[in-house]
Amino acid sequence: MLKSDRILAYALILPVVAAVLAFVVGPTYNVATLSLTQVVMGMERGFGTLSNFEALAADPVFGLVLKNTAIWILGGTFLCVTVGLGVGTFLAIDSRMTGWLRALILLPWVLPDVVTAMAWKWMLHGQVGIIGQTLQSWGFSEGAISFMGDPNLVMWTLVVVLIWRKMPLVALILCAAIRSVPDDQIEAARMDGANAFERFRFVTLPNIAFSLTAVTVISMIWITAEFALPWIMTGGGPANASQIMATYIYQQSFEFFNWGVASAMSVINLVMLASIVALYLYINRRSWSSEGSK
Amino acid sequence: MGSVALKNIRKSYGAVEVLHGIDLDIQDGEFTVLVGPSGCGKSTLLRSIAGLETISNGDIAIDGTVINSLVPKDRDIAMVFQNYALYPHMSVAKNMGFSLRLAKEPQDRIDSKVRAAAEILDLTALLDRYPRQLSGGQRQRVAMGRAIVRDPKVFLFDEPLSNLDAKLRVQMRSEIKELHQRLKTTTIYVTHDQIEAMTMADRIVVMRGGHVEQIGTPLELYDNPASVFVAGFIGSPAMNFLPARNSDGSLQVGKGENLGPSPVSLRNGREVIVGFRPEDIRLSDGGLPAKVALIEPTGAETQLTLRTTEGNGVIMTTRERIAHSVGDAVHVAVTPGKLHCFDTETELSLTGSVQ
Ligand SMILES: Nc1ncnc2c1ncn2[C@@H]1O[C@H](COP(=O)(O)OP(=O)(O)OP(=O)(O)O)[C@@H](O)[C@H]1O
Ligand SMILES: [Mg+2]
Repeated sequence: MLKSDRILAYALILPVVAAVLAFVVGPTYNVATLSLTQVVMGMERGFGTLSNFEALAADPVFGLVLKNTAIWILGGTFLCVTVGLGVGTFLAIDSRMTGWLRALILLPWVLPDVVTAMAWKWMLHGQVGIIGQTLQSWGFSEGAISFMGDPNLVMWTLVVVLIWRKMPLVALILCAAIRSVPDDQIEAARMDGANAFERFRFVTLPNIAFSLTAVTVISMIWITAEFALPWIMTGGGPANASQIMATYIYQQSFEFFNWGVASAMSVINLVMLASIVALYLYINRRSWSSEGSK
Repeated sequence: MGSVALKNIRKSYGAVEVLHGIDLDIQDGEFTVLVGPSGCGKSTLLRSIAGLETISNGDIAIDGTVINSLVPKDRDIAMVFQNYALYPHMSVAKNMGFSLRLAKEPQDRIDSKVRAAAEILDLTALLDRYPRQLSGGQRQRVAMGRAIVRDPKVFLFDEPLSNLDAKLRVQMRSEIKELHQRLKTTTIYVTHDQIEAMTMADRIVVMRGGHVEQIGTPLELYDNPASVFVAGFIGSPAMNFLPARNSDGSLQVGKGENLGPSPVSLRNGREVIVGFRPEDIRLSDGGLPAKVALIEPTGAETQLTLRTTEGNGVIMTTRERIAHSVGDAVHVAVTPGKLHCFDTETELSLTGSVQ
C-alpha cells in the first residue's frame, strides 16, 4: 500500500474514532475515575479511594437494589423472551387473524415510555385502578389490591408492565425467524415422525437459535437501560421495594448528589451486564459461528 | 411388502381442483416414475401419498389398508425432498438417525442402523460432518440415508436430482437404481425429465393437467404412445408430427407425398395426425421432399433438422455420416411399420381402432 493511501485510510476512519472516543470512551473513563473519587455534596474531595464502593457495601438499601435489579433484568429478560417466543410462534401461523395481529401487536411499542407508565399507573392504582376493581368484581380478591403499594407485589407488577411494553418486538422478530425456517425441514420432520412439540424443539428452535440469542441480549440491554417506566410508576417505592440500579443511580446522583457512589454503582452495573452478556454469548457460541459459516 | 393403490384421488386447493381423479396400482417392489410437465400435479400426488397434503376425495391404500386418515409418521413411508431438507444443526449421523431417535429406539440400535445405511451409501467417512460441509451429491445421499434407515414400505422421491449438475445427475441416477435393486423397496419417483423416467422406471405414469395420460413400461410408452402428448413427451428428440390424409390405405402429407401404408384401417380421405420418431426415418431417393435446415453432429449420431415444402420441421437422427450440407434438397422415407396415427380432434392414438 502506498504511504498516501494509508494516510487517507486513517483520515477516513478518524471521524468514527473521534466519535467513539468522545461519546463512549470519554464518559466511561469519566464515570470510572469518578467512582474512585470521594464526592461530598457535589464537591470532589480526593481521587484514589475505594470509599464509594465501601459505602455501597455498607448500604442496606444496596442489597435490596441488587435483588430487585436481578428480578428486573433476569426475570424481565427471561419472561420477555419466553412470552415473546410463545406469542411469536402463534403469530407465525398462517391465517387472516394472525396477519392482523402481527400489525396490531406493535402498538405498545410505538407509545412513548411516559404515556405507558402513566396509563398503567392509573390502571393499577390501589383504589381507583380499573384492573384492581375488575379483579375485585370478579371475586378474585376480597379487598382492594395495592399492586404498587405492596412491597411483595410491586417488583413483579413492574415486570408485567415491562413485558407488555417490550415483548411485542421480541415476538415479531422471533415470528419472522420462525417463518423463515424452511418448510421442507418441517415436512421432513413430519415424515420422520416428529409431533408438533418435537418439530418445534428439534427443528424450529435450532433454526432460530441465532435470532433467539440476539433478542435475548438486546432485551437484556433494553431492560437494563429502561428508566422512565419504573421511575414514573413507583419512583423506587414503597420504601425502596422497587428500587433498581437505574432508579437508585438516578436518585443518588440527582437527588442526593452522591456522584461518587452513583458512579461506583454504574461501574458495577456495567461489569455485571458485560459478564452476563459474555457468558450468554459463550454458551450460545455455536449458533453464532454456524450462522457465520453458512 | 408395500403395494400402493390409489383410487379416484382428487385434490382441490380452494375452488381449484389440481388432481382430477387419479387411479393407480403399484406392485410391491416396483419402481414407478411419475412424469409430466411442470404444474401437472406430480408433487401434489406424491405429497398426498406421503400424508403432507389431505386429499379431497378418493382412497389411498398401502398393502390393502386405507391410510387416508393416518398422519405421515403412521404411514410407514419415507420421502426424499428436492432440496434435501437436511437438518443443518445435526451431523450426518444425527440426521440419519433422527427418525429412530424419535421412535425411542435404543442408541446402539440407532448406531448400527445408521452405520449400515452409511456403508450402503458410501457415507461412513462423513458421519460426523454437518450438511453445510457436504457437496450437493453427498447431501443427496444423506437424504436417501435418512429414508433408508427407517426401512419403510414405500420410498417417495420428489425430483431428487434436479439440483445436481448433469454429470452427477447421471451418476446418482444409477446409484438410486442400484439401491432399489438391492433393497427392493416400492419406490415412487417424481421427475419432469423423461430420460430419468425412461432409464429408471419399471413403469412410467405420464401425467398431464391433473390426469393420468398413460401408464406403462418405458418401452410400451415409447412404442405405443396413447396420445400425441405422450408420444411427444417420451423420447428425445421428440417424435415428428405432420398433418396427413388417408388415401386408399396409405398416408399422404402435403401435396400427396406418400409416407407409407396406414397402420390402421381408416375411412378414405380421413384427416389424421401422423407421427414418426427421428430414428425411424432415413434419406432415400423417393418419398417426402425436404430441405436440410440444420446439421448437428454429436459424434456417434448426427441430428438433422429438415423443412418440408409446407414449412413443417422434421427431425431425423442417423448413425451414418452425412455428406449433405445446409440448404440441400433431400427426400426422406419412413421405416415401414413405424408410423403412428392420431385423431386430429382428440389427439388420441388410432392404432388398434377401426374408423
Ligand atoms: N398450496 C397450493 N395452493 C394452491 N395451488 C397449489 C398449491 N400447491 C400446488 N398448487 C397448484 O397445483 C398444481 C400442481 O402443482 P404441483 O406442485 O403438484 O406440480 P408439479 O407437477 O410437481 O410441477 P413441478 O414439475 O413444477 O414440480 C399447480 O397448478 C400449482 O399451481
Ligand atoms: Mg413438483
